[in-house]
Amino acid sequence: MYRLDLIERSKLGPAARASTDQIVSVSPVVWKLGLTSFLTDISSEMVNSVLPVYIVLHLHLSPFQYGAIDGMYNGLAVVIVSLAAGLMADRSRRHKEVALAGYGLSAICKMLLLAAGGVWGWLLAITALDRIGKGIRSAPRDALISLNTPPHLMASAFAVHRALDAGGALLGPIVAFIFLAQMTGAFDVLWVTSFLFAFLGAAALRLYVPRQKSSLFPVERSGSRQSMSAIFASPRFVALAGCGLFLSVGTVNDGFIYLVLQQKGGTNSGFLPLFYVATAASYMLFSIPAGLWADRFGRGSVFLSGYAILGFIYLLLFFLPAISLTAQVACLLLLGLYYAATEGLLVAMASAAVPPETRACGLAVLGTAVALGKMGSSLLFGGIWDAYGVRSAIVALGAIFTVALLTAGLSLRVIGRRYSHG
Amino acid sequence: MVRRNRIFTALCFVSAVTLVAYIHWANTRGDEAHGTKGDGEPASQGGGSPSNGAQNKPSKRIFFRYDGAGSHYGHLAIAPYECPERPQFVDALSCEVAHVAGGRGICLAANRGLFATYAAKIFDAKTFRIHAQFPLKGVPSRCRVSLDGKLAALTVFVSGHGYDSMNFSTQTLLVDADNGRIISDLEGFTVTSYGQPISNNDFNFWGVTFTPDSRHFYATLSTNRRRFLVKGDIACRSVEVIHDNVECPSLAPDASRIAYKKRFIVDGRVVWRLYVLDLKTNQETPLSEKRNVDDQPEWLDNDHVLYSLPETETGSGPSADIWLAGADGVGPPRLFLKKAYSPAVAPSL
Repeated sequence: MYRLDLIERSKLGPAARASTDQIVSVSPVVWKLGLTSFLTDISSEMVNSVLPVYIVLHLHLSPFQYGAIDGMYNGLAVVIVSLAAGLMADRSRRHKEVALAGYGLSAICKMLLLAAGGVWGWLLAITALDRIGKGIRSAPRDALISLNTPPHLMASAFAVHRALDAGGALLGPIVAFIFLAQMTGAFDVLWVTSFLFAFLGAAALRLYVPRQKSSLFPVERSGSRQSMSAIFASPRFVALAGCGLFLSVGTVNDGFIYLVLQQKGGTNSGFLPLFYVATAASYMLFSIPAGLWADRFGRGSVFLSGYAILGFIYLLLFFLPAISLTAQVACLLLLGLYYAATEGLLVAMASAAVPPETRACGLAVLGTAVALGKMGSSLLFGGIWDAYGVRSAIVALGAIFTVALLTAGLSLRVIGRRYSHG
Repeated sequence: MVRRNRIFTALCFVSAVTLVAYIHWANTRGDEAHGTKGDGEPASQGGGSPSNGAQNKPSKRIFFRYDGAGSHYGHLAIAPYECPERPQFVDALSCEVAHVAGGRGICLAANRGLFATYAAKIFDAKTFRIHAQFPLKGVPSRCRVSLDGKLAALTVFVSGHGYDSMNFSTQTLLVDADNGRIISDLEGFTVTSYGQPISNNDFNFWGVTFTPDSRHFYATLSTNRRRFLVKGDIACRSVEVIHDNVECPSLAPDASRIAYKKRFIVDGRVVWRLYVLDLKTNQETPLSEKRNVDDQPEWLDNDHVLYSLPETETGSGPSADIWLAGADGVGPPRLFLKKAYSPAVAPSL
């Protein structure tokens, strides 16, 4: 008994101390970037959460028939723009300015919502522009996080940022619903509020985040072709981007998980937004512990555990005939835990595999791989569903997911063995 | 750093002041819009039968959802056809869409808690007493009551989750208006096309309109990226495809024609134009309205249809206006009623 206690204490004591040290040593720049994302996510999620109701009930439009045409174009536009933004950030070494342009564009979009009134074409253009703003800023911002972080704290830094990000995503819909409950139909007040949050987010970035010191970039500036070939010359990076792509193809859209949970649980669909909020809350809570754990005990294993959790959720959804309220909540918590253990961590691992001078571009390539994987997943899922029914679609995606997870496990182990650092 | 903190604090303060000022302005805006109605100030009633002040007995009554700002926003309103701009309000019924026929009405309403839920309410068109209600699975879109008031139909948008903003499907229900019991979901009906049964899991139904005998209906069926007019038989639980590219059909009182919106792609965008289909000859007549109309038309009489369009003048939050066009496609459309949506035409009392 005594011995066990001693062993436990000797294990936990330094670990607990190290955890607080780890958080404290995450650069203030990362916290400030987190503040920017927190404010921006409040802004964008308050708009996203009410947009469907706004379109149907207040503009009296039939939305679902428009979607198919624009979704694909938008996705491709965002991919191209994000790659260009990554290249530009690397070449000019002005990650901050490029990210600021992306945040600024999204803030302006909120103001445009006010001017658009009920014109559908405008609304579509604005949502597309808003997504392009997101495409511009993501890679340079993540590059800034990684450039301000020593290699051994990479996962912790991204965990801090993603926790704040999820916090914003959690508060956004709540702010929106409180406003609408108080002032029925006053969507313009919502757009103004959203703009102000976005404006403050961009202001925090402008004021608090310093430009990169040139000492971080030992290598001379290089052309776009050279930086691309430099990125793909890293086997670690290629393996990670491949894992990201393959795993996303096998991952079903969150919307489908929520739908199954709601239907098998018999919940009123009015509470669907609550599912989203619960997932964001769990993501926020688990993000930092997962990041700290990853930096101490291995990023690859935490990443794979995250996907194993997702696999477990799929099994539950597939085999349980009915899902109780407790099980619903548990599933949502697990979904948040999956995000906490995977999303930021993949970017952290990739950051450690790309040299600083091509960091933003590398992260843009990674983001593109994941986005293409998601697009492929929904096309595949929809196609199989149409042709062979929903069960076949789920089984096919489940098979892809299993193979992807095994492949990821294998390749992460290989690159982990060959490059033991980081 | 201290200077930056000050600047950021100042910006937060300015933002907060801006927001408070805007909210204040938004609140008074509603009151002003309501107050400036002057002698046109609508009378309000919490229930009971509307007593009309006009001397001449009106030929028809128009029920609609009031879309203007102020305390009556979203409430069901009733106006005589001759002077529709002086409505009376049913403050007990706040509806996203509504329809009235045969002495019965249906109102699809939002319960705005922290998260909105939706319900259908079936009410008596004289007393406005609600005699049945049930929860809805999604955001209300269309509803209709049959001519005899026995049946009601409704369409809601069901989305996987509210954040995947453009990913919707529809659910269309037939309801017994006597007791609010759901007769069936149209997706449970068998579908035939040129005598052949067809089935596909991408079926979506919307926009029901009943035949005068309340035994049949027309609706839109979408499958494989096409949208068909179907005619349904309620007793047989079946529908048959009868025409291509018809959405939100509305059957004329004489049951010979259907007014609907026809879909076109213009410059890569979806637009709808209003058409009338002759059910005997299958001839399509475009109406003189050339703007994009996303609504289920309502027949005023056998020669005119009502439909709504987004308000054209810029100003406060978006609202709709009701327009009127000839069913023969001749003569320009005219503005029928401002700040109104979801018209239903009923005979006078």
